[in-house]
Amino acid sequence: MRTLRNTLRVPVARGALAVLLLVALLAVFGGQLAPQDPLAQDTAHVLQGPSGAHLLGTDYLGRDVLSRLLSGTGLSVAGALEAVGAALVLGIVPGLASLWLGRVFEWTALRAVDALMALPFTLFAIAAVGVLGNGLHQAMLALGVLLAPLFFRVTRAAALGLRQVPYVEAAELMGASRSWVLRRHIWSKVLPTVAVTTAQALATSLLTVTSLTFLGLGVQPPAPTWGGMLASDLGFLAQQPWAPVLPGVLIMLTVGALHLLADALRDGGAADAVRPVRAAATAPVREEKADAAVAA
Amino acid sequence: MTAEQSTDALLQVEDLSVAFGRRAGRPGQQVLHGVSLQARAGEILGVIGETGSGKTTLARSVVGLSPVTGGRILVDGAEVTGLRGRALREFRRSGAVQYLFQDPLRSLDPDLTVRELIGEPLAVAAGRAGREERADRVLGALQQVGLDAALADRLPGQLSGGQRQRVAIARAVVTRPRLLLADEPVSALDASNRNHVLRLFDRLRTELDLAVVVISHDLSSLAGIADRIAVLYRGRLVEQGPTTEVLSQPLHPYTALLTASAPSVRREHDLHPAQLRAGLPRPAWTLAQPAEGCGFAARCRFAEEACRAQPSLQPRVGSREVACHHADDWRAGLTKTEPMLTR
Amino acid sequence: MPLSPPEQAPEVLAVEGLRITVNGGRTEAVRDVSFTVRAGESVGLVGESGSGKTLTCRSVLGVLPPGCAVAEGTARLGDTELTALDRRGWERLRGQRLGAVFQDPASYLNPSLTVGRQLAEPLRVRQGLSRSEARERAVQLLGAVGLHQPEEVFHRYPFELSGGMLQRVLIATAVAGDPELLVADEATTALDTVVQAEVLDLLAQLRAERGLALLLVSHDLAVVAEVCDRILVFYAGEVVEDGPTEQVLAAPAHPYTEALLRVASIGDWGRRELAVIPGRPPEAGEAPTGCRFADRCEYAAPQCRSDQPVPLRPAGEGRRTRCVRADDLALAGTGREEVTA
Repeated sequence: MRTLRNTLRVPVARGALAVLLLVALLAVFGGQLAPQDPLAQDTAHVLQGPSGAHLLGTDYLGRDVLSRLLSGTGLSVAGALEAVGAALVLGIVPGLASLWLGRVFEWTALRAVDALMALPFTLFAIAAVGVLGNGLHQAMLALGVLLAPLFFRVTRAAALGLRQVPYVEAAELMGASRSWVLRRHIWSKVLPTVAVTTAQALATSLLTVTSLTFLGLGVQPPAPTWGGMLASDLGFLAQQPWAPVLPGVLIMLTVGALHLLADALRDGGAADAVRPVRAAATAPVREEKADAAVAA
Repeated sequence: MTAEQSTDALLQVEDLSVAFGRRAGRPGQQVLHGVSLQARAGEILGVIGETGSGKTTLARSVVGLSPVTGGRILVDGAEVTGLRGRALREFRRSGAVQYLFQDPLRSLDPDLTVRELIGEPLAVAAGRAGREERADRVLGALQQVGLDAALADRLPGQLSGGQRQRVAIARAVVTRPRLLLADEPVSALDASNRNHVLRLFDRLRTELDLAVVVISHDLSSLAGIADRIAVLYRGRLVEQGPTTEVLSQPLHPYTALLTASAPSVRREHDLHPAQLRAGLPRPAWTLAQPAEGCGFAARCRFAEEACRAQPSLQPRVGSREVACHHADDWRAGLTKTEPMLTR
Repeated sequence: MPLSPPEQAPEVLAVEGLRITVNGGRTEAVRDVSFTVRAGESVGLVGESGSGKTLTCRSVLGVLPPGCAVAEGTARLGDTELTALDRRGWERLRGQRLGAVFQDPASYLNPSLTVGRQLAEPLRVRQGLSRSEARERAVQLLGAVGLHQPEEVFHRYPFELSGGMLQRVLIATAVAGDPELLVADEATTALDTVVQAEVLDLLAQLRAERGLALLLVSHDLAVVAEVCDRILVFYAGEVVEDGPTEQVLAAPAHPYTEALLRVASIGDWGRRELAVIPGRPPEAGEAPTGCRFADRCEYAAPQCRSDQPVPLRPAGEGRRTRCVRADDLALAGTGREEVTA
């Protein structure tokens, strides 16, 4: 919580959050905000520049670019969220459990994670799509599984240092249950690290979604997506060299904002929580040095 | 030791041994060797020893944080050594025994307020106290340790060292314990705050009829409050008895070296540490690994062949005990202060 | 009994009107500190956390923490002005004319090199010794600081040695260049009582053998009392009293010194009183005008709360005090003189 408060004091973080909020609004209400039907073709007016009727011009089928951008946001963002959501659940729960459920579970979880990390992404994605059927959800679920080890490791690393911390031992001495210790003491220290990783993972999976849709995987053509638009715009570079810039800028802004937010979160104190606690020394001098440092 | 005495002891440690890293086929590292001591309600027992003497392990094993490999520990007459699982948790939730960690900054969760921290033991043992009673008891505990109720909403990082230590003590007394074990409670504090905290212990033991075990490497902080002192050296109890007598008339050469080495604004000991430090070279057997005979022999000025046999703790007059073959005659072997060492 | 240096031994360190700011110059942490250390003399700086003793000592060593700076005043080591030194100047000074030992010896040694190598290397660089000469000298130094079997210690890594042994190695490093001044900043604070006494004895012995001047910083009045000829008592960024240790302890001239003595280890082992000083020291930057100790002082009178800083003024032979009422008060000391006489 302290981390979040610290983070919000950084202007860059506020800017990044504003951008992300905007993207989120677009993702939810983009369809309604679209001035025209994103699928309506108008073969009389193809590849037009910006005009009063089409603020950002039209594409090769005469569809309104602005409308397609607005309604395409939802699918792209939803895909990324789906992947990260899966990764969070599949990573954090076993990550914490590996520390408290005994050696056997720990060993199994660690080996499973090693195996996942060794799997090549494409192969796994194809296999997943082969088993589950072609579609964005399937691909994102596969991505989520592949991102899970990241969360597993990050959570485990953050919590591992905390298991021996005196205040956790103190809670055990009060007779606190494992879930109490987790909820009360561990979670708030792990959360900032998880937040940083989540922001980064969102950026990564957003890029993956756009890459997949760029290649035409996952989402079937008439439905608008950022990646799909980028792909179709590339075919008409000669006529409309500026067109790919529009989805490109949206992708860049979103991914950039996520990374900036991740950085700000880390600076805001996530690093604090993971930093190993200093070895006990027995001196008031330490306090004096600390005072000087605080004063400085 | 009479039977009567042993029954009213609140904490009774009998022949306690602790070893770390012991697995099948490996003996592990023995940290405590057959330590026996006790503390009565309303009594403060000081445990003194240097780094690696096992004093922290002793306290941790009483609360079940260190693996006991031999002997037993009784609290209020009931054995706690074998407690596991639910029974252990229930015993801990009763709050009868409290352990005060060495560094309050690290034993208090930095994200919780003082109010939450002190209330935590009560909240953990839910059912023992309702929400309102809990709030009352937190305020009562704050008052008991002399902290302003206005501090209740601060975080540990916003408190001074002395205040943090008192928050830790408030958290320990909020469960109305019978026994309090404090590990180096004042080593990170300056002299004035140290005395504040020590006086607090002294008050609490009468107010709550507590048995207090204070662990320290610093003689002068124990000298002010402890009724009795136990001296640990390399995992063995070498001397034990009433504070004044142990410190002013030590029976073991190690205790003598400790008291003579304690810095003081006024020389108050008749011995100079140089008179007690071992000469060189040391007899070869004292350096043997694993150690042979008396553990202090390698540093003892008076060690000789007889010390190759492990001395046992022998009772002396005035409820004192000492483990030294030369407890009665080492003083006779003292030389005058060497003029070279000018202190 | 501390060694008494000849009255007019040359000044090794002279600090004059030192003012140190923290917080990038916005907050004053230390003001008006002046003292000298003569050859062969040992001077102790004592005070609670945040009293300014450590900052003062660190400014003499040129290792002030970031954001802290000497804003006013001078510090001379022999004829070298320390406050004007650049990095290169400091490098020439440290390890040659100025040695230092700190609280945590392990963090000043490289864990992956043997202590002997770390001791011999600077000897080769600074004094131009050959490899074997440096080695020989290093072993000799390790022996001189009381390490048994110095040849063996030479080949040890820092993690193989105890805290007390490491502190001895650090002392050997500090005196390797035959410095004029050795600064010990809480050097024995983290050590066990028995080892602390050994290290303090070692410092006294080095002083006697090498004519070394010693500046010792400690929060523990008793440690300073054991080792130092003269003592400076710091409170809230000022020196409140200074003078020969014996006299200061026997008859303090400032109520804070009296209070420190009372809370320090005083009394017989059995009947030790646990005195406390009420209140808390002022935070850096909110230093009250007038006497800074007035709010905690049992002798405080209206004249103590003037709007001017209290000047440090003479209080008998070689002594100074910052107490307005020093002449009216009869403060209790240890009676140490009678005991030792």
